[in-house]
Amino acid sequence: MNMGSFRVSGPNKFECDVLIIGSGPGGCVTASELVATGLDVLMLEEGPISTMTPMSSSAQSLQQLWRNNGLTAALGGTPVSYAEGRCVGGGSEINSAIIQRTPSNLLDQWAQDYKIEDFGEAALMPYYDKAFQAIKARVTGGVANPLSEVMIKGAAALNWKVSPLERSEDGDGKRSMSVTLLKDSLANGLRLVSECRVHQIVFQNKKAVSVKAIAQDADGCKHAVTVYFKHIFVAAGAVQTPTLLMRSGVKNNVGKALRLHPTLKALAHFPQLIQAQKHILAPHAVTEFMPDIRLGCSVFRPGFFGMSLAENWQYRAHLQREIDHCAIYYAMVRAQGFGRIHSVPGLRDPLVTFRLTNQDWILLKRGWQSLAKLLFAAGATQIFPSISGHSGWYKDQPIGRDTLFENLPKFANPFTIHLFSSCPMGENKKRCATNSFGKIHDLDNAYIADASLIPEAPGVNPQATVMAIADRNAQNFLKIRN
Amino acid sequence: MDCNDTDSCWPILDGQGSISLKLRYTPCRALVEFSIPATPHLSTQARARLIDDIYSYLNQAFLLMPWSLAIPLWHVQKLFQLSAFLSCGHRFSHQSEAQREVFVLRWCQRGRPFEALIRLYRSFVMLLYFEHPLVKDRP
Repeated sequence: MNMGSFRVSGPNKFECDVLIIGSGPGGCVTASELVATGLDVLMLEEGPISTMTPMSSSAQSLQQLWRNNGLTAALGGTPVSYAEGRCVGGGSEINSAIIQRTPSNLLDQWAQDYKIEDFGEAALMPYYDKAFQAIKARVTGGVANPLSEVMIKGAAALNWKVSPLERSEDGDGKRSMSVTLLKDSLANGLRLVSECRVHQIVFQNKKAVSVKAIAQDADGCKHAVTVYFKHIFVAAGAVQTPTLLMRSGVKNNVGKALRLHPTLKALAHFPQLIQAQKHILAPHAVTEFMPDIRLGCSVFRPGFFGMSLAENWQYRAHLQREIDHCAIYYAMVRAQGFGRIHSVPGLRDPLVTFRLTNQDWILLKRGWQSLAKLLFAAGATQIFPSISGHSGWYKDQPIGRDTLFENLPKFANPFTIHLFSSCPMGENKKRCATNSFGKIHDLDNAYIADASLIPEAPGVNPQATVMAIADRNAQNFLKIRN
Repeated sequence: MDCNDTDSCWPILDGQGSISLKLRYTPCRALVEFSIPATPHLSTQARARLIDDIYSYLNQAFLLMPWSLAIPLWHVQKLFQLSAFLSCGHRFSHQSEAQREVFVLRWCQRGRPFEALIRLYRSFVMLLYFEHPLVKDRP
């Protein structure tokens, strides 16, 4: 990491014009815009600087980059496990680097429903373009690998639409925040303190004045840190941002409408060699049913293959030696259900709850049936859905007529890496936590700049939308300030 | 009933001020051992090292588990240990391979929280197993 990033070595007090909490895509875009105008910006990040290399194992990555080693779940009728990045660069360090724009009809719909000023496709387009440019996103679908070929073949047989995906990567690897915007901002004067967890924002007369944090030094010793600022941007992600705000006493429409993209996986076995671990990811997705359902390929590493076998060991153990013939695919849906984040006094982690609606389950069932159809059309011999106790589907078997599938809410194991909407933005004060530009209602100098602001599930990977909205809001902040 | 647990004190304060309550949760070593697939290519010592490595990783991982998962998991694990003892008069760690197989199969048939305990252990074990140098680098 460039100069400007450091860890504290004792109790510390900082002062700055703008404090940003969190170094994910939202925080980094905001920092980049503000630093460029000469503002003194300080960023606090709870996680460490990544030391991962392409040779690092999934276990090492879980330990260093993921919150709670990936052991996080939204509880409810059916628990939904979720993943959050907890490192410098945030979610951009652990996601699959797929960059997509939210469909224009959804953006326009949100502008209307949530009364968001100067919002919609036309208003956001220049910010999307800028985000794509900043991380050098490009279509990688031109080079199909065996994982893609499965989807292309299946989709062709069924006459479904399959699209290449834009990813932020180049020859040197993924273009995450730590190697793009954050690196540039540090060179431009941004100060970054890593391994520093904010536990409270102090407010006085409708103004945020300071934060109290605990930072860890290189020897693992903890030190109290206080930061005084003129303005604050909270960009800690859709779960941690509302948790911190609630812990600090800001509760109005905060953490009450969490949305996510529930995703169901299936392990597929093919007679031909796939060698998924060589290719890791497919740069294509079946977009026939977008934005409600997307079918795609999961990141494949030996460890993830192992986890997939563990889901139903009884029926999958025999595939241990078949790793080169297996791949993991998913069906991701745009759910209508929503959840809540409860901050519990005295405890570090919040309680996250989420409830899928009947409509969501219908979509998930449809998604899984479509996925099975696609994979069988592409030549799969057996498919193992992530349903507890499920023995798998064979090619000529009717899909989805078994008891376990009929009772999906009781047996399915959904997960997600896309969380948002926990502090929606807009002028509708009954529903929204912030105004149209991310400023928290009724507070003078406190803003939100992450996926919490996205009003509803976008049906696509949210990173580009987070970046576009953060950029737009940062520009508005600068305009008002001047 | 402790299933090889050495220091399962729960819950405890994290000792770094009162900002959070850390739930100390010690994983069951016998369940780790049970979840590792057969390894005919490994010597007894190598397999023991594999188990040690996975167990110590799991120890770290479970220490960081959010309380909303740690509390139910702690209870389900205690129930697992009690049920294992009641099923054949031995702790799970002292049961034979065949007894463990039968017990775990029956346990999983009880429903989601019970089956989830085994799935959680097995998921972590398999993640670490497939990427462990002893397994990954074998010819």
